[in-house]
Amino acid sequence: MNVGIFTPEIVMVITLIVILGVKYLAKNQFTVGLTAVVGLITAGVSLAYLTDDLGMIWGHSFVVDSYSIFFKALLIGVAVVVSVISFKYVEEKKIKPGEFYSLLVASTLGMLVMVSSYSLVSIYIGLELMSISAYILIGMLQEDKRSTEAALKYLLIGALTSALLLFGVSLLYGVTGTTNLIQIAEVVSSGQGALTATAASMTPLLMMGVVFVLAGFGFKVAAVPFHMWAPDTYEGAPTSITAFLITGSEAAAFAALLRVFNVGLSELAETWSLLIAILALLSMTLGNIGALTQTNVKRMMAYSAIAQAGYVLVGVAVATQSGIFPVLYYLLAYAFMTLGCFAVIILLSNNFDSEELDDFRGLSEKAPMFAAAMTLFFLSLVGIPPTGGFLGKFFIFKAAIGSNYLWLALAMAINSVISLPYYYGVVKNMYLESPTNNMKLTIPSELKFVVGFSAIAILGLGIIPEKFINLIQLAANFVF
Amino acid sequence: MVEYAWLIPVLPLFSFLIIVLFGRYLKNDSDKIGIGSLFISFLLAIGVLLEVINGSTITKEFVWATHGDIEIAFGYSVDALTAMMFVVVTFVSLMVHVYSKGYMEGDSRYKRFYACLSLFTASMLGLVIANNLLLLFICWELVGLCSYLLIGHWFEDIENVLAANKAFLTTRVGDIGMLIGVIMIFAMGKTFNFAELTHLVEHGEIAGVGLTVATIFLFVGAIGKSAQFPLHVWLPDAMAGPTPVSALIHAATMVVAGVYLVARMFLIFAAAKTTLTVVAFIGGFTAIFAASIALVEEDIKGVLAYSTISQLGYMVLALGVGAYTAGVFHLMTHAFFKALLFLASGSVIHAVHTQNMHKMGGLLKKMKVTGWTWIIGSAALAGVPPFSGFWSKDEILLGAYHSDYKILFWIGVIAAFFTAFYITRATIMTFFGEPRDDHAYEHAHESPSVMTIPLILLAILAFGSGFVNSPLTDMAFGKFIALEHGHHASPSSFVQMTAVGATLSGIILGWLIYGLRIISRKSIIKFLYPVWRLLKGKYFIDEIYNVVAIRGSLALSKLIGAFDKYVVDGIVNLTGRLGVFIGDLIGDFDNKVVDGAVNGVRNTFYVGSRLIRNAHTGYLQSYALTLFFSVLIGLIIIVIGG
Amino acid sequence: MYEFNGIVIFFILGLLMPIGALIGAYILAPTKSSPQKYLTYECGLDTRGETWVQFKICYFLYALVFLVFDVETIFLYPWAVTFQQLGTFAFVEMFIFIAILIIGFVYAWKEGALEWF
Repeated sequence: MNVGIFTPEIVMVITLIVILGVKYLAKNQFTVGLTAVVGLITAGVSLAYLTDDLGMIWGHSFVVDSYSIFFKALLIGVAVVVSVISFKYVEEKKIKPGEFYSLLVASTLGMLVMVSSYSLVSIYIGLELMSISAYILIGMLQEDKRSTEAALKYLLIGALTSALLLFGVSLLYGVTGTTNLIQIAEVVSSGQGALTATAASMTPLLMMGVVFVLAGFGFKVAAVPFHMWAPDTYEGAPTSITAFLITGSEAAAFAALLRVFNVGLSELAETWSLLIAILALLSMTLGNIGALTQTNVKRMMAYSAIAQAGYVLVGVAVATQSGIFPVLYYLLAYAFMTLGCFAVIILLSNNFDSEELDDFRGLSEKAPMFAAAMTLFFLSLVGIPPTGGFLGKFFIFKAAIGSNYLWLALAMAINSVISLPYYYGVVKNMYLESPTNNMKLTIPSELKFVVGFSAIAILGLGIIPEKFINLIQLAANFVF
Repeated sequence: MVEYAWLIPVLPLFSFLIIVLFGRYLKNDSDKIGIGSLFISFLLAIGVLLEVINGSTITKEFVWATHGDIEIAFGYSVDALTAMMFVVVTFVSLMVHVYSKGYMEGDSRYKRFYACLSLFTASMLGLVIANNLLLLFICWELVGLCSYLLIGHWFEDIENVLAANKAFLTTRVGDIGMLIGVIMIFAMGKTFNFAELTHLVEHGEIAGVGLTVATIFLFVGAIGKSAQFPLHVWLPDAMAGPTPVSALIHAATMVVAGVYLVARMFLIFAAAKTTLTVVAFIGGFTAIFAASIALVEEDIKGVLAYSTISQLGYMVLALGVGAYTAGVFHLMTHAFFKALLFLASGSVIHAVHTQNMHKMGGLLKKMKVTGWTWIIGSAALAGVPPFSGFWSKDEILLGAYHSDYKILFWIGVIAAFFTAFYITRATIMTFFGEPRDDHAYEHAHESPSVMTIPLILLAILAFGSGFVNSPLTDMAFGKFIALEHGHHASPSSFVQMTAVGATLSGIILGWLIYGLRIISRKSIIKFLYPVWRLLKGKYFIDEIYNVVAIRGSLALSKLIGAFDKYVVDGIVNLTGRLGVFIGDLIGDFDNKVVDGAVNGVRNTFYVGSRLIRNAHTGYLQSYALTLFFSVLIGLIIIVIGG
Repeated sequence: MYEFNGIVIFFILGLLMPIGALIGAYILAPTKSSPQKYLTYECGLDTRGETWVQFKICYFLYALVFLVFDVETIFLYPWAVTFQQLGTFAFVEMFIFIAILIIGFVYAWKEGALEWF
């Protein structure tokens, strides 16, 4: 057995334990956060030593390929950024640092397992590790009722959808007699299943399995109609965790979703792509409309996240025909813009202890660089050049037009227009309104770093995309 | 007609279902359904009996489950015993149904009462028609359930609930024994069918200790249901139910189930001599034991209750000494006269609103029909020739006289003396002499005809039903009911004289004490005070059970508590100390961290629970609902689109 | 379409069963209400005091710690049975597993999960 394949995961486990030790030994809270960051970066660096030829273990259920390395890098990056922007926040909100960072690492570990899995069971295990850690993370603001409520809602709905997902998995297993994605694909194409002899008689149960599995993943990516928890949870959770969920959790879920549907069930693409297209349409529309009337910026970002998930789902729906490259590109860009946004939100939250849209008033006077970066992130979210968001949307758009989902491309275009007002509302507050108070902002240097880095990345993705494109194309090729 | 025999239990069952399901549309017409269906059943039963007398029988079976080479079949069969039981049960039950129309009028749970009565009758009839132990056991349990429902009919009063519980639980004790017996018999014979079992026993394939133990266990079931010593305690308490229910339970349904079981499996029991001896002695002891308690009862229904136990003892005694015909014959006559006595007592209670005989007296003047029918019933119970009880009791004593144990005969005779005495006492205290409670007397009136007509009909049978097995009819009943191996003991004038002598002396003694008051009741009590106290306390059986069962379990729980306190706590404390010790070793224990953590978690849950309490739960449920509907819609899309 | 017939029938039955049961109950059930019927059901006993009672969190923490070691034992059994076939690697692996659990246990201890307040 090749243990080397697990290097990042093992590093993460050790990090987790060390954080707990540091919690008791260190006098300074900052040390705990720093341990987490160092551990995560070590894990990230160890990725460089993983190569494609490491292959698979556990009977082809755990794999290291470019695709998983791409997502692991992305997820570890997200975790590092989330840890960094949490330094001050954790202190301000009196969150217990040891638990916070160790759970963050644990959740990331679950994600890593998810994106490397070639088997429904190990995907589920990763998913649960990710979710269960997330349930606690969301409820970390013990004094805040909204946080507790958010955690409870996420937990209950999460448990429910876990059951749905498992039911779907059991159906797939029942029909095909295996949980391994490659073997499932073989069974589906040959029709030689455990249960039945012909492909035709297999279809109904497979379809039911598809629907239930899709419901399970739909919950994780907060796609309408499985999104109901998202606004409450994203609003109530600690702000950095909201960012973590929107970027990390969603990216990991998309990674697993793509793997399951494109490797295991690609034969059935005609059916599930229709379902995903419907989810995409609903998510985009409802998310954007819901965001319009929000006054709390976290809640607004929650609805925005639902809409963005809708865009990604468009890419997923047409992935079998046009490739998964657009999805990966968009997820990468989306991670940067969301993290950037939340870094700014955390800045305000640290200073004003609230997350209302009004807090943005006059930000251009108090922190001009942050206001400019926020504007850039919003431009990227709406999809205006020369940002990474524009290119991401453009690739997905192109893929949709290239397939037979023209109507979906149309809906996407219309939705981009709908989304403009609420993003603009924030920008207007920052530049055209006068500040509500004269409080001076204290700006921690790590936030400056994160916001700056995100802004550069967004611009880089938009202006010099070739480098990224090649890299991502490499990852994308590995799914098939 | 005999091929429609299955309808007899099914009709009351239907009536039960109709009343239960559509009771609210029927309102008080439920009684008509119950009475009507039972009336048809009764007519059918008569028809079946006539055909069975002419020699036709029927057996039907269908396989219910197959397991390996074992087939479990359900079926029914109609033979002489079944046909006779059909008539007795349907007739008595019909009388009770009609009578209840008057007695239960205006009851708040009138429909429920009739529903239960119907189910009760149906399950008893099912028990009688069953040709296998399994179906019999199911019906047996149903009978127990119905008795629970009916005894606790007026459940507003906690006493009634306790009585119902007691009846149910006590008979359950017997039922467990019976279940063991059923399983043992099945294990040995691989069948539940009576005919096949009998066949196996006769060919010696089931024999020896196994058979003895199994039959004794089966008999334990009969002890419970037929209220034999020592499981008789539920029956007197079961008086708490409405009087028609008492009549049904004590005359025709529940209690005779045990006797019926022994009669039905008589040839199997007969093969186990030890069991038969046990049966005979338990029966004999119960007969005299219960009769002695009835001597001092003040409650009119109490007298009848102990009388029932005693008479059941007679039946069991008869079966135990091998006098099969006598036992079954007494079952029949007893059903009629005991039902009559109960219904008559109900009529009295209905009139004077008390059950205490010391507050009655002289009621014959006010209640002619009730009074005279009661007297006929008492005469039958006491065994006055030529009333029905005389013939059947005589037959039992004859059987006991010819058995291996002469003592059983003398026990029977003394019990007969007691019987005559206590029923004379009850009759005189109730219907003769001066009214002791003027208010009650003033208030008394004859019951409506819906109650008195059943009394008259029952009285006719209580008087006449004995003749079917008398020399006048050439022992027709005996010939009809007898098993092939049944033997009829030759009549003995000695037995007859002794029996009549015991009866008459009992009546005369009762008349002297209570009627003419020549012998002072007080002086007798004074003279025999310890005995009187013992009888008054019903041999303190209930108290003994209380001590054994309740105190026993309390003591046990205390013992366990002590174990918990000293041993378990000790271990826990030790572990705790060890834990603290190790904790100290590892490092300084930060109390603040500990406090903080626990308080934090506590607060979290506090807030969480408050949140759930507030409006948010509704949302969550609708979230989940949306989720499921979404999945459903997804499936529909796939089905339509795919 | 055609191959979905079984599932469609399943769904229709699944829908009809509860609906049928509800309608049946509505038609057949007597609608008499009494104060007793509105009581909270608690094992047949009358309820005493508030139904919203706080439980000591300590129970929960104990249960959690217990559960972890319960599961550990389940893992240890098959490991112990096939110990000789598995070789050194499994031996070391199991020690890592136990070590991780012990760390968790020490954590729980430090946080006071084993203290009864």
